[in-house]
Order: sequence, then structure tokens, then C-alpha cells
Amino acid sequence: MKYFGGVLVLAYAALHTLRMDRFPDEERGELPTSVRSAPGGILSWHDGFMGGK
Amino acid sequence: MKVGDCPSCRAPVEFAPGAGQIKVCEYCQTVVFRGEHQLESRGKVAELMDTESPLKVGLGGRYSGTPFTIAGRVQKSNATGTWDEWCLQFEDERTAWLAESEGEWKLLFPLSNVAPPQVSALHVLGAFTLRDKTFVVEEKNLAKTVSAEGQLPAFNREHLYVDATGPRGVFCTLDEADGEVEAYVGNFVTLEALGFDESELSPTPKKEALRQARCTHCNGPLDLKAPDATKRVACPYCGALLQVLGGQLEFLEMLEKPPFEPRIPLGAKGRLHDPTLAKAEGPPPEWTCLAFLVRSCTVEGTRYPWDEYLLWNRTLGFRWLMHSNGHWTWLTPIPAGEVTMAYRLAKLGAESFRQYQTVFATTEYVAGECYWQVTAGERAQASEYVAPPRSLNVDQTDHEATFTLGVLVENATLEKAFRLPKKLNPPVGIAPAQPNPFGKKAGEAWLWSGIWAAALMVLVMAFSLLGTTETYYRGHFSVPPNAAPASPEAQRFSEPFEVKKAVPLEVKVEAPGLSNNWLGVSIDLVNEKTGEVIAVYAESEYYSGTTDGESWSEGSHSQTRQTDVVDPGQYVLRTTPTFEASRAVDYDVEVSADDGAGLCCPLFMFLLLLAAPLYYSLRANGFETSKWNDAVFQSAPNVSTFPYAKADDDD
Repeated sequence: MKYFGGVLVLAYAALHTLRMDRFPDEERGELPTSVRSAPGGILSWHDGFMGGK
Repeated sequence: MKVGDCPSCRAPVEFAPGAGQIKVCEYCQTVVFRGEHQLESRGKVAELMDTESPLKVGLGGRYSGTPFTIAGRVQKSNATGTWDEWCLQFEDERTAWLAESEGEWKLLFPLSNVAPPQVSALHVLGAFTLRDKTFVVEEKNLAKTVSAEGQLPAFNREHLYVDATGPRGVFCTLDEADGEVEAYVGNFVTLEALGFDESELSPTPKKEALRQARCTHCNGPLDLKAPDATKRVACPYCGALLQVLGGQLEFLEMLEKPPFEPRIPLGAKGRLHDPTLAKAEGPPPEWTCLAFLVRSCTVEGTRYPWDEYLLWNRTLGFRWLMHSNGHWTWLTPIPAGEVTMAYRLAKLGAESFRQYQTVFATTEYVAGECYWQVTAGERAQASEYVAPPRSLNVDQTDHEATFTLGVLVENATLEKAFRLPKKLNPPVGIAPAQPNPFGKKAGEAWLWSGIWAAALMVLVMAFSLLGTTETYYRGHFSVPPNAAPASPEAQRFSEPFEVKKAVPLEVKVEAPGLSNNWLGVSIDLVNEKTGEVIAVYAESEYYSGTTDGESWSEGSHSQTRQTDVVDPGQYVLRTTPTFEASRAVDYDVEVSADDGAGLCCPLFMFLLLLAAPLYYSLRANGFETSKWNDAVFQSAPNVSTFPYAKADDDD
């Protein structure tokens, strides 16, 4: 336990620093070019991503 | 010097000044009392028995610088044997008594100006106080004076007595005769310390002859190792029990022979330090195995045997080795006065011992030479108190109690010390004084877990302080009437907002108006500059009601979702609600930085930190439960209770 506990604390520090201590619920993608170039821009976007559902 | 005539035989009787008012006529054994005007007879005593004592009347010595002379001797007996008490007359007019007990000598001085308790009111293991010292009774018995010689301060035909010990080796004897109680206190001494001429203290020729004695029953050679101290010899060849009397062996009875050979042979010599001592100095002393006993107790119809080995060293005296289920315990006698007894507890100095068991032990088999009047079938109440790896053992009869301090000894230690040709059987089960192998590990694991948990907490606090949880956006959204779920009409866009740092985000959706309903919201975070879309979906449901008069609720009005690290920049948020048709509710969305210490990861680490100490604690607890399940207290030979036994679920 003397060393194992230290390993655990160091592991936590490393995971946090490397941002590997999260469990994101996201989905990523790109906004379609047609939407970006359309008049109204993003406000005209009514399809595509649906929040990862 | 006062000289008179014996009232019985008219032989001259001389009284030395200051040496007592009783003189035993050396011609007719009349006890002569020196009255104010004449000598009076107090009856006769028997002729002296040869007790093979190295002392004799008239011998001179010196104690603490003061010379003395042995003025007289009283020979007493009780149900178990006969012994001598020697009256010492000091030059400074003090009187003391010197008596031998189990190979040791005790020197006792009369105590005046005290009010000792009545001996008849005391019992074995009872305590009394004299001059602020507490004494514990080790023996209570009736002594008869069978013979005497020389000049004595007093003479009683019979008297009750208790032998008691106090702290730091102080010894006390109370004698009660005709309602009068005399108290004597003193210490154990060696004959060398009493300044006797060593040439006169050698073992008597008769005792020396005992070394080459043969069994009176089978003529087998006995080769006695400690003839000075031996009172009973059990012949290892035929099982005859012999008593040592007058330098001779006398047949007493036939004993059943032990059913197996002793694991340590009789006469075997072994060198090892007394493991009950804190420090081992010098070369290890040599111990000789004198006797082998098999004892047992019966609990609920089952016989539990163990064997005991009597060890002897000429300087250090007697010790015991007890063997049970492959576990060996070294036992060193200690004065009862050193021990404080309480309910299921015994204290020796600062060390507390917990009562493990009390049983009625029967001596079944004996072989070898013993310093007490051993008999087969003798029964004693044996109690064991434990403070692993040490134990305190009390053997108690109606008249006597003996205390021993025990320590578990490794088999390998004994095999090496006694050079045993065969390996001893490995231990089976758990010994009462066996240390818990997981207890220390559990303690260490808890210590280090605590240390590392504290370090983890410090780290969590540091990350929390260094990280940010700033809120970047908060907005309220409504669903237009008649909008279909997940339809473009139901969609809403936020004003642009700025995420200042590259951080993970936390998106919280809250619908306070949710009641027996559900709401799902798809949230798309759009980076205006890069066009990257980060999408999350949060669905809340909340139901409540009353069933059988009891109100209940389940679900939540809010849900939270996390993203990975997002780039800093300008963002717009699009929400697409999903709901049960025509039951849409308003909702709030909050976007914050989630750059704190986090919860899941440190919690997981914390649980991992607890794993090892919990494991060892459970094992330690299992060990103790298993051990104490066997603890038995007998209030009578056939009445057993198991105060610590856990109920068996299967029963």
C-alpha cells in the first residue's frame, strides 16, 4: 500500500493533466458548408446534428 | 545461656539468649517452653525426617552484612508433602525463617504492628493489603508440625497458612493458629547470597546417589537430572510412579504409559534464551527436559489433549513447553502478585491480557521427574489470557494457583535448540495467542491509505483552485404552441457567447415545470469560426404521485452532460427539444467550464485506496472470529459456554 497508493495518486494527477479523467457524452462534427454560406448562416441550420441522439 | 532440665527426660536443655522461648529436647524430642519461673513441656514431636536438605542447625551465614546462625528447624507437612522451615537468629536480634519451595529459597521476616487478615477468610487468588502492598494468595492450606529441633520463637501443632506474592517479587506468608495471625514478608534468595560455606551446601550423598537410581518396579535406569528438586518420578519404561523420600525412591502406583513418545525426549538438552524475557544476554542457557505430561480437557463430550514438557536449568529453575496442535508455547512461572485480575482481563504491568478460555484440565499421563507431588488424574482449572504473541496462564486448584507467562515459539527454534532428529509437526489451526497475520498488514494499509487519501485530497483541492468553472452561457427557451417534437419550429438558437479557454464544458438542461412528463433536448454547440459542432443530448423525466397514502417522486428536473476540451472562441447554441406531443415545457440551458478536479476519477482512486485496507481488515476480522469462536469458558467440568461464538446461519 505504501507504493500502490502513491501510484494511484500519481495516476490521478497524470490523467487530470492529460484531460483523460473525463467521460464526455458528446458527438463532434462539422457544420455543413452550405449552411455556413447560406444567408442567415447558422440560424438557417435546421437539420444535420441532433445533439448526438 | 540459660540451662535447665527437660521436664520429660531431665536431660539438660540450653537456651541461647534472644533465640526464642521454645527448645526441642535433643534426647527425647519434647518441646520445652521457657516460662518465667520454670521450663514447661508442650508435648513431644516425632523424629526428624530426612528431607535431604543441605542446611543444618548451627550453620552460620550472613545476610545483607549481618551474621546469623540457624537456631532451629521446624518440619511441617500437608496433604502433598513435608518440608523444612529454618529459623535464623541474627546478631542484631532479628529472627527470620528460611524455607525451600520448588527448588527456590524464600527468606521471610516477621512483620509487626500490622493487622493481617484472618487466613480462614482468604481464598486462592484472593488479594489482601499489608503496609500498602497488595498480595495475591497463591496457596492456602493446613500445615501440621511433625517435628522440630533447636531453639524456636514459637511452636504450633497445626496452623492455617497462605502463601502470597506481591509486586516485584515480594513474598508473604500468613500463619493462623488459635485465631492469632502472624505475618511474614520477604523475598526469594539463593543460598549463595546467604553466605553459607559452599562446601556444606553440596547435595547430600543420598541425593547424589539418586542420579544413578533405578526404578524400584522394573529396575530401569532413571538417570535423574535434578535430584535436588525432584519429588516424584514417573518411570518412562514401566510407568511406575515413585516418590523421592529420604534420598530413596518409593513405589506409589502404576500409571498408564503415555500413548506416544514425547516429541522432546526426556533428558534432552537444549540451549535457548527464555523468550519471555525482553532482552537475551550472554550465551543461551542449557535446559534439560525432565518430564513429559499429557493433559486434556473435555468440552461437550469431546476430549482435547495437549502435552507439556518440564524444562530445568540449575540456575534459572523450571520452565514449561506446552504443545497443542503443532503450536509450541514457552511458559515461565511468574508471581501472582505481579498480575492484576479483572473481569475477563488480566494485567501484567502495562500489558493487558484478554481471557480466552477456562477449562478443567486433567493430568492423564506422566513420565520423568517432577518437582511437585504429581498424580495421574489430578484436575485443575486452567485459564488462559492472551495478548498475542504472549499469554498468561493460571492453573488453579482448591489450595493452590500458579501463574505462567507464555510466548509462542517457532517449531524451527525448538528443533534447532534441542537438535531434534525429526521435524516437529507443523501447526494446525489457530493458537489462542497466535498473532493475527493480517492485523499488522491492515494497520499498515490503513495508515498508508490515509496518507495517500490526504495527498489525493490536496491534489483535488489544488486542481479545483487552479481550474475554472466559469459560466459562459445561461438562457431560457420556450417551445411554441403546436410545434411538433424535434421539428424546426421547436428549435431555438442562442445569442453568440464566448468560451474563453480551451476547457471541457458542462452543459446543464433544467426544466422546472416538468411534472409527470419527460423532455429531451439536443444541444448543438457551434464554433462560429471553425464550424465545429459539439453535440450532446440531455433527457429529463420527473414523475410523482401518491400510492396508498404515501407520496412519492422519481426522476429529476435537470440533466448534465460533459464535453471534451473545446477550443476557445465564439459559440452559438442550437436546441432541439423532443417531448410528448402537446406536452412541451420551457427549459433552461447553462454552459460552464468544467475544468475542476472532477468527481468520478478521484472518487474511483479513493475507492481503490480503500480496497487493500478493507481486504486486510476483513481477513483480520475473519481470523479473530475464527479464533474466538473456539474460546470456551467452563464453570464446571461439564458446563461449557462459548461467549464469543458467532451463531451459525446454517443451523
